[in-house]
Amino acid sequence: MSGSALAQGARTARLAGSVGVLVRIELLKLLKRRIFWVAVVLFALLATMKFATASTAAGGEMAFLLAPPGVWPATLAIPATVGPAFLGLVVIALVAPEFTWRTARQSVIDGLGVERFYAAKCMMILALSALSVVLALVVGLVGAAVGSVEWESAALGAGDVQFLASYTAASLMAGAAALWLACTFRAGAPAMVAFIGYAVAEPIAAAILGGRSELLDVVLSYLPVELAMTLGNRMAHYPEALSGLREMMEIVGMSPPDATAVKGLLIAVHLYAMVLFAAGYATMRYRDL
Amino acid sequence: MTSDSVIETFELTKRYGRRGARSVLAVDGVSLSVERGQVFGFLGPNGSGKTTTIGMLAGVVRPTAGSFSLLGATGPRELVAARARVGATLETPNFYPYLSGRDNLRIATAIKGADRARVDECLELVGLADRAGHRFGSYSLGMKQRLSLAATMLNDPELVILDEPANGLDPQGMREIRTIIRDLAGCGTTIFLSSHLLWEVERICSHVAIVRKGRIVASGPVEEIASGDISALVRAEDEMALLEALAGYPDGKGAQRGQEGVIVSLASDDLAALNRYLAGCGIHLSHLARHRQSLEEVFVELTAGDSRTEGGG
Repeated sequence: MSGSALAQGARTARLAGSVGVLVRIELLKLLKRRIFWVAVVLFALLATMKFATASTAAGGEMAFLLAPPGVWPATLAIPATVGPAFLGLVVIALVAPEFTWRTARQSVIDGLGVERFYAAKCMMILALSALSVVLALVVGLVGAAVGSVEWESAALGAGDVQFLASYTAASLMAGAAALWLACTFRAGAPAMVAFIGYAVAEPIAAAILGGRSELLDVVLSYLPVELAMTLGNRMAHYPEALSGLREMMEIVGMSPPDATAVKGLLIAVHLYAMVLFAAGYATMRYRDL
Repeated sequence: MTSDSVIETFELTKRYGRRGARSVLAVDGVSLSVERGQVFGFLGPNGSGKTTTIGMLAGVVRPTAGSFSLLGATGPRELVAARARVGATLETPNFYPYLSGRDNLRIATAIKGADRARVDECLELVGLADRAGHRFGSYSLGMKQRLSLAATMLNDPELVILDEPANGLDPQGMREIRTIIRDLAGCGTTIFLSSHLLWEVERICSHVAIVRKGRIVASGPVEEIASGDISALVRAEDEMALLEALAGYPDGKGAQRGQEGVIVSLASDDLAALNRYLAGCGIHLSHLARHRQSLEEVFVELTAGDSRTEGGG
């Protein structure tokens, strides 16, 4: 084996070791944190309630919607609709106290460094996002099992994968925004007020400003909350299956999301997530702890 | 940088806020050197810049100007690695209140890359083994301070930086902390200690720096700093006559009343000459002894005019 390959191997091993340490530290903190378990139970309850509502609506000829793969759109809609906002609030609740307890500061003093501290929080956001999907899928599978509807395959279809990718991106964006706010305010309450305040203010501002010009409407459709809502809408991912519903919406004057625009929206969400993650890191890096 | 310097700062400066009326110059060109094996006391009144200086060394406060090295490291990445070989606390003990003392130390162990077995050893060392499984939030301030000290020892550090480690401790607790610090120093660990308990510092430290309004006003071995002036303590029946006579003593640099008698500053340490002079003036002394200025007296003298001599800085 060449010297450069050995050096590359050593670097990879160091990186893996470093990631392992961060995972170990974050797990130890997370699994003993009451608010984390409260959030998990709340999310599971929310998911069950939403699934139960969907199940009640689906009966008779619509019974296929209660078994995989037909159940996935409704199942994935659970995290997609409430997940990003919920995740954002949980991230603030978990991260902001690190500043009030001054444990973020002590971690840096102990030699973790600002970079690894921040990387650990980014990993936590990814893990929480994945956990919310898993929870929703479990609720869907349990619901299908309980619903006693026969089903053959639980494989996800192309629309399901797109829905899942959209949710993950939207939750990353919300998590990044929450992390940035937590690092900026360094206290849970003001960070949560800012997070919720923006989530409420943006749709109001969009409603007031919308319809004045086409260009402005396009700009407004790319604002973060609007993006998350569009990507969390089932109709953006299952245009054929839900064509009837789309037609009904158009008849009553509502505008269903444009399924062809999903890729562009996904790029925009990723860009927002990157900018927000960078802003959070810059706040950590250039402000005294 | 000298070869055996564990900490070396050069014109280290920290200004909060932009230049102008509202900006505060917390640390103003601090240059100091701490050699391996020293127990270095860092003293100063409230707001003198002690904690800010330590914060810069610990990587949580960004210097405005100047530079420093820690265990020979100067670059940002090197410094992060060096800090894992340092045990440091800043102001209050900072731990997760919902985790037990043991779990908190496990986190510190993972960060520092220390042996996990050290957790229980260090808890035992600071007398917290019995309460290791209890939540940190339920600890008394003294227990929190001891846990903080345990955390600094996890990685057998080459350098320990302690910011007011005796805060909140009762006399017994202070004594225990002093013993631990002495044991650490006995093992060759360099200790950088910020404290307002001057008599404690005088007992523990080999070297000291006194900081005032962000600047170092005195630095050196404790004996040199504490007894820099030659002085004598004298007593006589007629104190007024004694003071009048001392005012005319050629080798005298001033005299003042103290609690135990008159303290006279001298140009030379010839106490016999002073005795002869006073006898010649008709004053017969009931007490004559060399007077050693305590660190506290030096501190008060050097930091006169500052609000208080206690607390952080």
